[in-house]
Amino acid sequence: MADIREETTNDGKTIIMSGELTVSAVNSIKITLLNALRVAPALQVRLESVSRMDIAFLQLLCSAHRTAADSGKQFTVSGDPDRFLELLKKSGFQRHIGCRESGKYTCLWLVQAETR
Amino acid sequence: MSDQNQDQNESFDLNVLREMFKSEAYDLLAELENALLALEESPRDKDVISRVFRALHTIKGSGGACGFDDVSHFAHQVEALYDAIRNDKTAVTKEIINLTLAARDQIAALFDGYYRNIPAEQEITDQIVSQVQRFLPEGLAKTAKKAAAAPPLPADVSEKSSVRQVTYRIRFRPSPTIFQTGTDPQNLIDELKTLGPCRVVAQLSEIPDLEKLNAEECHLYWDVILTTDRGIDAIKDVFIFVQDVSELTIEPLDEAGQVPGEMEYKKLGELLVERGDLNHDDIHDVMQDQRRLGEILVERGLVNIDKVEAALTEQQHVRELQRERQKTEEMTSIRVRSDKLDKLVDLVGELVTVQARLSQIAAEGTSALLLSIAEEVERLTAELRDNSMSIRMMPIGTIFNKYRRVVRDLSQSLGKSVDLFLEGTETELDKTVIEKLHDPLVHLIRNCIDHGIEMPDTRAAAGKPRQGTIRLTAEHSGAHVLIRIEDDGGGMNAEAIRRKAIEKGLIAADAALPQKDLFSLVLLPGFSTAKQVTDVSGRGVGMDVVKQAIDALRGTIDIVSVPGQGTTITLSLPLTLAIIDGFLTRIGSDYYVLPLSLVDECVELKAGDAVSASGRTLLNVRGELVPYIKLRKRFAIPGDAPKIEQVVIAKVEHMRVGFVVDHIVGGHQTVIKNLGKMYKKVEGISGATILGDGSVALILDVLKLVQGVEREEVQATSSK
Repeated sequence: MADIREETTNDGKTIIMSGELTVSAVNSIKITLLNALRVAPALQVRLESVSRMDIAFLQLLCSAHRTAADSGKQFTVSGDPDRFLELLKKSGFQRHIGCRESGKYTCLWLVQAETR
Repeated sequence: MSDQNQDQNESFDLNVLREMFKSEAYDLLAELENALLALEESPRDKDVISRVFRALHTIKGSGGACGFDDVSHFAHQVEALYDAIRNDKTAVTKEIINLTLAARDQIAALFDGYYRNIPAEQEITDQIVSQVQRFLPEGLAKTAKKAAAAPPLPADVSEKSSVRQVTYRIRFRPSPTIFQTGTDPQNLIDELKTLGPCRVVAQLSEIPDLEKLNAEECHLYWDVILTTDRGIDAIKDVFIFVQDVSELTIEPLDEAGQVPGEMEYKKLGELLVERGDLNHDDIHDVMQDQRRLGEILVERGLVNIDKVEAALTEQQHVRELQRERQKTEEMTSIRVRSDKLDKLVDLVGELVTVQARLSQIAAEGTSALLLSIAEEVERLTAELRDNSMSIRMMPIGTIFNKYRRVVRDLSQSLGKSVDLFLEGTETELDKTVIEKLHDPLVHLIRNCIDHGIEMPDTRAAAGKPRQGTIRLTAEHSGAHVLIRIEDDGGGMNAEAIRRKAIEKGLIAADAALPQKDLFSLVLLPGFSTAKQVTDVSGRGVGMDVVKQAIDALRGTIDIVSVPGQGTTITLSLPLTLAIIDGFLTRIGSDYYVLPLSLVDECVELKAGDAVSASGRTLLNVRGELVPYIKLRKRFAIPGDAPKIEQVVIAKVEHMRVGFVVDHIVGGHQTVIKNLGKMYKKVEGISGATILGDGSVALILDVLKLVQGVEREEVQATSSK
């Protein structure tokens, strides 16, 4: 089961997600993200005690990031970096250049560029 | 070539392949066992599940390639179960672990059938397969059964040409509904990774905005670069359950799928053009800009960012493979049959002996040239000796890891809970010593579990953790390796041992033995009762046999036990059994060698130097009283000793003991020769070596000599 909580700060909103962040929870997480993005100038997703994460969840974050970037809002993800990075790496989400769709070539999945 | 010739050649090739695969086969089984034991500890750990899967998969593939069809089919069945586990269709249970361990043993039996002519029972294979089926989800069980009925050779096996490494570009576009069908694309990607080095780029460009996103649908596709020797069919197999609803393209990197040998792989622009993502004119235009090509291309909208990412990934993958290949070329290793190594060491032994003769003759002669050649030969021989000995050295972890299974199985059957900790597994020891150490160590560990570690309730009542601990450690100590088997069980009951020893007539009723010696009594033949031999060891081996085995390795056993806290058994073993650095001495016309690693110093013994105390002869060495043994007297060598004798002071267990000889010759490379059965019982002599002039020198077993003298002293004292 996914556990989603919201916190409002001076800078914007923080959504704290924990538990099973998988395809079974993506629809309800999507609604939360959508509602938050409508009102907040900046949105932070904080991952805490995540027991599972899958590709459907990464896809959702990617979509949210693009939506935020297109409307000039900030969208960041923090917390549980090891598990998050491991999945990014395994699933091929990591990027060296930000994507065009999200404007200014920012990307959630950006890693330190290597010399090419 | 006639058909018959061709058949013969194929069968010959297969035999050669099988022989080459032999040690790998047993290594794979060891890896499978270790992975299963790790899985038992953490049954949900995906990495460990993959480890088990990989081991089974490799046994299936490589076994099949060497013509072990039954092994390959059997492993295929068990692999199907782990495929279901990987895909979260089945959960790991204790039953599954037990079943897979049994399957592992059966695979070992099947290999033994080929390699050792011990036929495996087909009935057991069938039983295991039918049990595996029970754990498979409905659909998979049918597929696996079908595969078993007409088992195709694994793709990697059927394609003879697929032995070489080929790099493929793979594009996998799953059906949008893949998430809903319960298939996690990640599992498919993970499975691809088991085939070989692999890089994955998820193509994200089709992910819609949040508003339009159907989050339960998959809007992604993947570009994968994979280098594998398993052939294209093995890649297709990964996608077998989703192929009808997915788009899958697999193409070799270039025509031959070979990674080019030169270091500079294609530039990003070339790759994009080659992959069909960009045309030549655009590239030419963009090259005028000084910024990074990828960024410019994306900025100008000429190519999608994901396509750049995929091309860059291909570039990186190939460059890494090139680096890897270069590294491999620099440091290749080969497997060599162990009997060839034994032969090499034998020959080096002979060479050392001949070299000693050469040195002696050169020293006696007058030719300076001969002397310098002899010295050169001596130096080279010593190097050759050290090198060939180091080839035989193996990390002791190779046998230590086998004991995890022993501990698991025995503790389970006795209803105990025991953890095994291994330390110093990288410690190296001569392979012969390691091989001969296996049975004694198994026996000692089984003893720890059966007699040492108490039942969980008893432990809890004594305020100990319910789970017992056995610690197996190895460390170097000079020319010896110390192996400790330590348990936190109830310890040995000194009083019970004393009673039994008196009852068996091994010690006098009023004998005052130090505790250490009392514990050593359990190593004596006849101490173990018949019940112990069958129930405890189950191998017909008592502690006295352990002692014999360690003695044969010229090692020692030391037992320390604290009631309620546990027992520590320390084995001290020589690093090698073949050639040692010896210290050559002479008594009359006979030569004796002491292991140089034990020698502390040499002092002179003049008449009047000796002190006598409690029947012992002692020597005053700079204020320290050192007991000594006159070897001339001990070995009853006729003739008179010189006026000034030499005392070689050696470390024997924890004390210093002097051995009195007539003359000291000096350091000597000693090739150890066994004395043969006739002289097996001669106490104090562990072997012999041949000297430069062809005469024989006996190698002293200093510990046995000391123990013999001590025993006689005790007897003499008690008979007074």
